[in-house]
Amino acid sequence: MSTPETPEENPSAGQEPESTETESQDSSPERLTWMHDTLEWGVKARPGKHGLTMRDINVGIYGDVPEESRDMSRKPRGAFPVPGVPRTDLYTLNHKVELWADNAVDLYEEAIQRRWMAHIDIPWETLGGSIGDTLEPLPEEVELATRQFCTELAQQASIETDVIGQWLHHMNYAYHEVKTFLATELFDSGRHYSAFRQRALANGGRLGLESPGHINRRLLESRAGWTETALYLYVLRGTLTLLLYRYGEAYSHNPAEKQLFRRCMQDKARHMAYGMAHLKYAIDEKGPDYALGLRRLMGGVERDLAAEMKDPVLWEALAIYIAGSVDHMAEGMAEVKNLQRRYMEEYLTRMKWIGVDKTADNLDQGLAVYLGQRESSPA
Amino acid sequence: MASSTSGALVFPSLKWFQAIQELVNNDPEFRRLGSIDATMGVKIGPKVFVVTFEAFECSNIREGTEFDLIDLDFFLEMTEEKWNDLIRNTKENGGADLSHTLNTLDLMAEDGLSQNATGDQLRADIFFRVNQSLQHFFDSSAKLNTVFPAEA
Repeated sequence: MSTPETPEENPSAGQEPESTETESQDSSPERLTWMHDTLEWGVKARPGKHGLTMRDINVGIYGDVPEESRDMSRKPRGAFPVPGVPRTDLYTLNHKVELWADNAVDLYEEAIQRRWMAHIDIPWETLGGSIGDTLEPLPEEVELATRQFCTELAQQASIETDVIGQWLHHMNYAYHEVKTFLATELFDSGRHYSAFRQRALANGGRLGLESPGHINRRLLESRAGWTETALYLYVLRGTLTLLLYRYGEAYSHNPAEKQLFRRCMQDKARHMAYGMAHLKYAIDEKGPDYALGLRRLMGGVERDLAAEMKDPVLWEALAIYIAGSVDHMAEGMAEVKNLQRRYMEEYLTRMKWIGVDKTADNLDQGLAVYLGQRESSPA
Repeated sequence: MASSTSGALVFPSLKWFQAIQELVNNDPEFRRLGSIDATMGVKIGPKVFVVTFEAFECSNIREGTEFDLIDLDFFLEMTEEKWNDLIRNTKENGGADLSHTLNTLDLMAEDGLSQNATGDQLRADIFFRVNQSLQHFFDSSAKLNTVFPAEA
């Protein structure tokens, strides 16, 4: 229902007794002075091929991203400040360098425009067994291995949700491009958690063992800053998660798993794009001392990772998933070794890209051993 | 020669890629997968094709050279025989089967399938960010009557 602009538009005007309420709704021009209070008039944005995007409306002052913001009122960036509004939050991330990435605004749109729904976009009926019976169910050992694999991925996703959630409310609203992008990542990780649970439980199944949790604890207990946490979340953990999704897609046993892993792979690569861009920006801005500090910070985390990678449960499950049977597990384990080698290679590559001098020489020795692994992939 | 007398399209050729471009740009399912912004090279033996995606469409296809690869987000490279195998498999199955998806080929190939020419990890990762759309693009070739140079 719209409010009449003038008395002429309102046929009942003047027929009702006056009241405080009607006075407060008086629409005479002199009572609408707030309409003149703005920091900038005349902003126009034109929709492009993507529609009207967040980047499109970053026009004039509304597109100005401050180096620092001390506004604690949750005022949308560019809104007219009102004297006396009490503080509603006490943000701790108030500098652009602490969270910014130039690509966040476009990644937000990409997340929205490439969203998917697990219950519709995954052809669950192709799993076989109890859902659709269109295909033979997997051998029990492969089904159990898949459930273990998916249990690990569900746990990684739930950790991601909690990690981002505990940092998001510390971020100043002046950087809404980052906050809204991270909101999509929260939604993605929630969906990944749910979708991998669905896969694990779909065929009358069960969940497997929880992760040893060393890196989960590091992620959740990181207090040094968002940038430091992002290094753990995206470069250390994200590199592995993306690889696990890629192997899940490559060795899937049916179209449902193919779609599930591929869609998650897309999301994870998008998350990585923000994390890498932010880390590179922060390091470029803060300089080599900061980069050196990040490199040293990773020493302890790498030791934890090396300990966690000795746990055989995920790797054995993955070897069976890849090989398609316990009998051929050795072939699957050869490919698992390739995955572990790739993980370390990509970890070093990504560290170099963001500006941290992490090499095989200063990598934890418990992790460096994986760099030498190269096995023939199963046909 | 890009097309045979029977209307079949020769792979690889500009007309073959343009036929896929037309298919996906008129395919609501391709649009439903979401916006895609990427410049992709396809290197088939000595031949290079440059494919540009913009918003919800494949906006341009052109023939290129190896010198173009340095400016692209990523390029896909396999031998002509492996490309032919992929296109045949796609035709036979109405889309790549489980062992011929782009990501699978990327993991299985000794040197991978997709790479960025300058080692830019951020741009190389676009291959994964829009992978479902790329898969749909190549899967659409199942609708074409493709012939290979020896058959044309």
